[in-house]
Amino acid sequence: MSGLEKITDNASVSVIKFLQANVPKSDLVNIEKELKKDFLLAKKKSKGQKVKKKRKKSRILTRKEKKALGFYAIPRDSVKYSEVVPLNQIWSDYISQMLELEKLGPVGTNKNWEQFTQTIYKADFHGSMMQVVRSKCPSYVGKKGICIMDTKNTFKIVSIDNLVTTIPKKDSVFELYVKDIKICVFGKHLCVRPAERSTKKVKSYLHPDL
Amino acid sequence: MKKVQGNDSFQRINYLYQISKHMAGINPVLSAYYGNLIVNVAKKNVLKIHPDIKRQICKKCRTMLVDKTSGKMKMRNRNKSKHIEWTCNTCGVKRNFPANKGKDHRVWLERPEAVEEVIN
Ligand SMILES: [Zn+2]
Repeated sequence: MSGLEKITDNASVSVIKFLQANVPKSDLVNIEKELKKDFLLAKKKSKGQKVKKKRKKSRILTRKEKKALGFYAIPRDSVKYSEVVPLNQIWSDYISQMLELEKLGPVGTNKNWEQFTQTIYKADFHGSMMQVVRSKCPSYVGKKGICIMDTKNTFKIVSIDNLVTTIPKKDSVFELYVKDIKICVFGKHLCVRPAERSTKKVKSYLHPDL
Repeated sequence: MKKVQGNDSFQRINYLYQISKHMAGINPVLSAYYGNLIVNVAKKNVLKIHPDIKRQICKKCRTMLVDKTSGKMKMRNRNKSKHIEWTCNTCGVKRNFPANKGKDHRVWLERPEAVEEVIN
């Protein structure tokens, strides 16, 4: 778009003709000159500024990089059952310390029963041995294994035959095994992201409907 | 036992730290997931992660760093000052900790005068 270029294309010619017809006679001389002015924001100016700013080296993994490392997909046969058994051992120590199981009396008689249930819902479920007792989808019923991942709506468990299964929480009832105690947990109430669950307030009375 | 604010979260962080460390050599993906969870739990509850734990988490991918399995530890000299260099095997990020002979590099929490009260 150099200033010396002769105006040739159809549209420009018609614009000039229009201007020549409508502009006062004293300005007629200036029409061609004014049209050939360069504007600051036009293409020409920005071309020179296109030198890219050096991006700062990012300190955290981007989503793309995470995907490349395989952080999102856990293949069905990637985790061995024998690898997660130690998790379960550490977990049962952890949960019995959390719930103070030694002091626990029979069901319903303890004064702190309410607090006990609160603690369960605030605890961590990674590494717990769980079984699906009831579910809307019958093929999930009876699945048993060690939980390795806990997302907002699902549990990922590893069963004894080294398979990773994803189970939706919402329509299932789980049973947890802590040493020789069984705890029944409704998955419906656990639909919170694991990091947020400890801060979230749980209603003291939860309807156990399914 | 006296009740401490955020005790259950501290217990949770402790537990997650253990399983993350266990998984470090076996499955880096899960280790990173648990490491990530440690950071998120601490963030949500506004708690500080103890420097001993925090230094073992990779800054970039948050796997637990264990020498010769998920990371490499090396002593290095640069500008007459020694430091320990950790390299993550998963994402390849490097991290330095100063380690000069005559100097005290402990952070505040590791010094004896930082202990206010022992609760048990
Ligand atoms: Zn890393």
